[in-house]
Amino acid sequence: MAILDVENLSIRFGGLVAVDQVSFQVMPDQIFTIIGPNGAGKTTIFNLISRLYEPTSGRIVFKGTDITRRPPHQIARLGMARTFQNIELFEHATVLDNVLLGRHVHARAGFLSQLCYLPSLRRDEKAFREVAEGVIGFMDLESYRRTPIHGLPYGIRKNVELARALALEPRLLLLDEPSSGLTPTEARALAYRLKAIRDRLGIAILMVEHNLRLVSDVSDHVLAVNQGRILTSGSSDAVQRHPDVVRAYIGE
Amino acid sequence: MASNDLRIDHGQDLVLVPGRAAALRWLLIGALFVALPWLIDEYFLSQFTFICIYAIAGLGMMVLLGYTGLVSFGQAAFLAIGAYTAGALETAGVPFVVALPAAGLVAAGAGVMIGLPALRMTGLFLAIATLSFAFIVEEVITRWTSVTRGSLGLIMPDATLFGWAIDSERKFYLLCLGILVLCLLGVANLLRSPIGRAFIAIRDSRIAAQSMGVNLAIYQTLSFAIGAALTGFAGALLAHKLTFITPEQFGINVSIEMLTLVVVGGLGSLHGVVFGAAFIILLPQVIAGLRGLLPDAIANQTGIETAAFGIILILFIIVEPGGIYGRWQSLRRYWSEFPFCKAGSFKRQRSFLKSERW
Ligand SMILES: Nc1ncnc2c1ncn2[C@@H]1O[C@H](COP(=O)(O)OP(=O)(O)OP(=O)(O)O)[C@@H](O)[C@H]1O
Ligand SMILES: [Mg+2]
Repeated sequence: MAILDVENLSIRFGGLVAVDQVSFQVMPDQIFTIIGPNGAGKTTIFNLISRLYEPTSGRIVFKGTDITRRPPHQIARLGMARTFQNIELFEHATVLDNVLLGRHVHARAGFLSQLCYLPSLRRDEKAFREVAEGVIGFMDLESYRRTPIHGLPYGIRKNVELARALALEPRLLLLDEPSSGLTPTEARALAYRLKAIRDRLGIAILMVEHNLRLVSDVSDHVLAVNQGRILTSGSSDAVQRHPDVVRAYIGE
Repeated sequence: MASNDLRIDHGQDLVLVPGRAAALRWLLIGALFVALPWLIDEYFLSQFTFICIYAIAGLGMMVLLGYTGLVSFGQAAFLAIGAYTAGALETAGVPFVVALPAAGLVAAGAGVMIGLPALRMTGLFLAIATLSFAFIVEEVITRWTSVTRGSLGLIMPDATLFGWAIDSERKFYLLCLGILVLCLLGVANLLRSPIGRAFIAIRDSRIAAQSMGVNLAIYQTLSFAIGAALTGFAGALLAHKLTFITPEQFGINVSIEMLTLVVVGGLGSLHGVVFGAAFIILLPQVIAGLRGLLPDAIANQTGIETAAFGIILILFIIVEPGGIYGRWQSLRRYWSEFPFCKAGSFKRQRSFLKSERW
């Protein structure tokens, strides 16, 4: 069964139909990639799925639950985490605190135990740190643990954002252009990690990506969009050779 | 600082004061403040009492603005609500130990009332909403004469602590100091807990906070409630300190003082609250002292203090957004690395361009 089922999703901004009757399904063991030229509506699809935008029509079903009308903070609770095209980190907090926020949906302690830092909270915080340190190790961020975000280089910030999303222990990860701004070496490390996330952690990935080599390397399924509409979908090679896709990219 | 960088156990992260040296330092600072009444005369002690009270009120503003990124131009209202709740209750014979938490609770209730409709507002709109709220509260207090005696003013009885009268400056200072320490501990605990991380997340990126599961409605309202409660406690103490309260004592200038306090002290730091409070209380003294040195034409102008506050607030926002505490930290870093510092490495980081779309 699909972990994410998007049906006839559309959104209109004034006169512009940014996403137009888009449907697709992501399977639990998949890296599912959306490609398309600039302004195709890829980020808008993400913002619709994470409920930051209100769809004009259509349905979004995540893990069998209809989330089309759920408020955005509930989406994380259901097990979906995302990163942002322009990186949205907590600039004045440390790397560790950013990653620890990923545990927010798992926090159980009440107000009084937080006010007094009772043993029950202490136990929770310890457990949160164990998960966070695991993720920090996986993302190679150990040496930045106590560094505030502002002042970190771009590639590191990208890793922190991914680490924060992983700390939530989601079932589905939404990654908006994870390789943009990375050096070729960093992009190779990313490809390795994406596969590890899918195979070792068992987390499905829905991503938007421009680096076609990375796309071919990791994707199980590719969806091409242009001007808000689906052009084609299928294996990475087939989609990249599809005449409509070639035209959309060259025709720009 | 540097010696504590290596952690070998998560427990090390969970202590409030890392290491023996820091604990010893805090102990010494604490001992100094407890001994203060026996070291300085009553007039100066009275200034320190005011600093404690303002620090408690400023702590509320710090939670709100410094940690959650929500601006409030209405802190005077919470201060007034705290003061008059304590005043009305204690006049009716309720003991101080009950009146003080009640003052915090009623102020927190008011905080929720303003926090809920303010959910969709940030920045300028929030500033205007909180400002109007403060005017309404001032108006209500002036008109509700059966409880507040309006502009006739309310005389505060002496506070009693379990039958023990707080009847000297010395005792009252120690009481305020104790409450300040408790409030600081509580807030420090919250800040290193999920609630504090959620506040900071909202401050730095509302959109990411939301997508990581933070319910903006709940946490912003909570921040208003905590900020108001702390300011309410301070209001109750202030009422006792002043012994006589009138609605005019809680005007817009007090809200501006609170804003100046956290900006000058240093947004996003608990040390900053204390530095800022000291600044707010001591600046008028300094100005009074300087008056003698200024030419008569300037020295006799009214409103010099307000002007000085305004100018300093603007200067800090432009030149040192880290506040006094930020300045202090960069000086410390500068000296600890002294001959090896590059020019410019202590300048502010240019932050990455933020866009409205994500
Ligand atoms: N909040 C908004 N209000 C108005 N128009 C919007 C909004 N968000 C997106 N759009 C428009 O929708 C279209 C699709 O934008 P989107 O950001 O989804 O493109 P994209 O495929 O992510 O492009 P890129 O590869 O450049 O990131 C664009 O024309 C954009 O201007
Ligand atoms: Mg985009």
